[in-house]
Order: sequence, then structure tokens, then C-alpha cells
Amino acid sequence: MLRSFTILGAIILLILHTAHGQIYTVSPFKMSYFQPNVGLNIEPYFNGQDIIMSFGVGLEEKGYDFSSTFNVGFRPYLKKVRIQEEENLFYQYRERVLLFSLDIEKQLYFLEYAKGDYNNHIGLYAKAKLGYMHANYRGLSESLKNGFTVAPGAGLAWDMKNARLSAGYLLFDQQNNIPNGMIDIMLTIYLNNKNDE
Amino acid sequence: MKRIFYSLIAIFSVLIVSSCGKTTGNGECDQDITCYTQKPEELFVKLQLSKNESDSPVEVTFYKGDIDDGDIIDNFPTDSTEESYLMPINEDYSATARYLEGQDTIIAVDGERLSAESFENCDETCYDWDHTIVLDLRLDN
Repeated sequence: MLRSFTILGAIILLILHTAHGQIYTVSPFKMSYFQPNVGLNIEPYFNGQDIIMSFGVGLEEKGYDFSSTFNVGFRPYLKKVRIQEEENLFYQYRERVLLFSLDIEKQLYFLEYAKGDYNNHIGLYAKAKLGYMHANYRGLSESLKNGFTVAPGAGLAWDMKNARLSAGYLLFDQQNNIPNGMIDIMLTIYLNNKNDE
Repeated sequence: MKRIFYSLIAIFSVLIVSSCGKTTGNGECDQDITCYTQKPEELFVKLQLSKNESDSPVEVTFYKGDIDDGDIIDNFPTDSTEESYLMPINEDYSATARYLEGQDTIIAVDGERLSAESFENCDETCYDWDHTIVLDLRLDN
């Protein structure tokens, strides 16, 4: 938990450092016209026992401040996990995980500041990963975990001219002994941003 | 924007290149490398084990195939932290180790395919006779 606050604090300090102009509040429910962009994202989510890397592509809507992307996440190494079979009996497997997900995220910006010809925004986000998880276990012919999963999350979002950086909390239940709470950091790059306000 | 794009391409290129296996590269020739051109028929499977909390022997089962549909090759109690088998290649091998932790029983599982590893040198295919697969049955504490 302390690590989460340290990371979020560092991000806020970074934002304040780059904000040369005046920061002012805006309504988080203010909407503009439809401004669709294509976005690429890279998203590690992790805790003290695990890390998942995710890459995605999809719609970044900057007028109504939401995104909808297709993501593929995977653990870049074999992880020993314990799964309870029955009372007092646990299996320890070496596991690989793949997660295909549709990520839906809504941003609520409440701070704004001018940076060059663009107004950057700072606010909160809420998201959900709606996905299909597939796990492979060495030494087993069949996967024990194939199925749909939902992982909700929330945190801070920082919208810039060509990118958005967000950091927050993700609740991802892997159905094993790894804690469900994870720190979620995502960098999104807008590919066809027209810089409209 | 372009700088970020080119940086990402550079990072992925480094990752791809560094993920390549043992090779001297196309057309390269290193006369100092000992080249065994005969393909091995058997290689070692090494089992890595932990000790039981109570120092009682750990029960190990070794399978040809996966543990849920394979054939048991060996089943034995051991106090050792390492066991090795010389086994035919091109087969899957797996193993379990049964540990006691207080009231709990932990069964560690691992498995892998045993294949011959080769590389090209001086226009010859060389086989790695030292190649070993390791089944990691150590407890993750």
C-alpha cells in the first residue's frame, strides 16, 4: 500500500513539475463533441508477488473521455502458484497466464492546465477488464483455469497532447495464492490526435 | 511522438535479438568449438527438490508424459535435494514431490519436453550433449 502511494505521489509531482501554466478546475462531467482517436497502450500491472504485461489497441474518445481497447496480457515468466485442491491439500504448479480482454475506461478530469497549444487534463479514471483468462501448467495436459473474468480498477489519469498516463489499483483475481490487489500503470499513445479541444 | 515510436522499435529489436538461442550465426565458423555431430539419444532430466520441514523424506514420483495422463517411471522417498535420470529424448517428462507443511500437504508439480539442442558451426550441425532439462519441484516460500 505504501508503495502505491509513493508511485502516485511521484506521478503527481511530475505533473506539477511540467505544469508551467496556471492549473484550474473544470467540471469532470464536461463533454465536447465526438473526437475518436486510435490508441496504442502498454500496461504493466503488478504487486509484490507477480507482474502481468499487457499491450492493447483501440478507441480513445477524447470528447467524451472514454476508451475501449482490446488488450492481450501475459506473465513474462513462469510463476510458482499454489491452488487448493481440498482442505489441507495444495498443489504447487509452474504457471503461465494469458488474458485477452476488452478494457472499458471512463476518465473524469477535474484539473486542466495549458501546455503549448494543448490543454492537459488531470483526473480520475474507472475501468473494467472484461476478459478470457487461459493458464498453462507445466506437467499437466490440461489447463485448470479457462474462463471469463472481470477485473475492475480505478486511479489517477493524466491526459497530455499525444498520450495519457494513468496509475491506480486493479482488482484481478487469478484464483490462486497471489494477492488480488495490483498496481496498474498504463501509457496510452494517441495515433491520430488532431489536438481539438 | 516520432521519438517515442522509434524508441519502442529499438527496445523491441533489442528484445528480439537477445531472445535468440545458442548459435554462431549463419555462415560463421569457430574452430575452437567442439562439435558433436551425432545426435544424442538420451539426455539428463534433473529434479530439484526442497527438504521437508520435519526432515522426513520427500515422496517423489517421476512420469513419462504429464502427471494426469502419463506413465509412472519411478516412485521413491528421498532426503536428497537433487535427483537425475538419463532418459530418451523427444518425450515429455514430469514429476511431483509431496511435502508436509504443518497440517498441510503440498504437492509440487513440474514438467517439460526433453529434446536435443543443436547449433550450426562451420556448416555442420552440432549437438549439445550437456543439455539437461530441470524440473523445479522446490517449494516457493
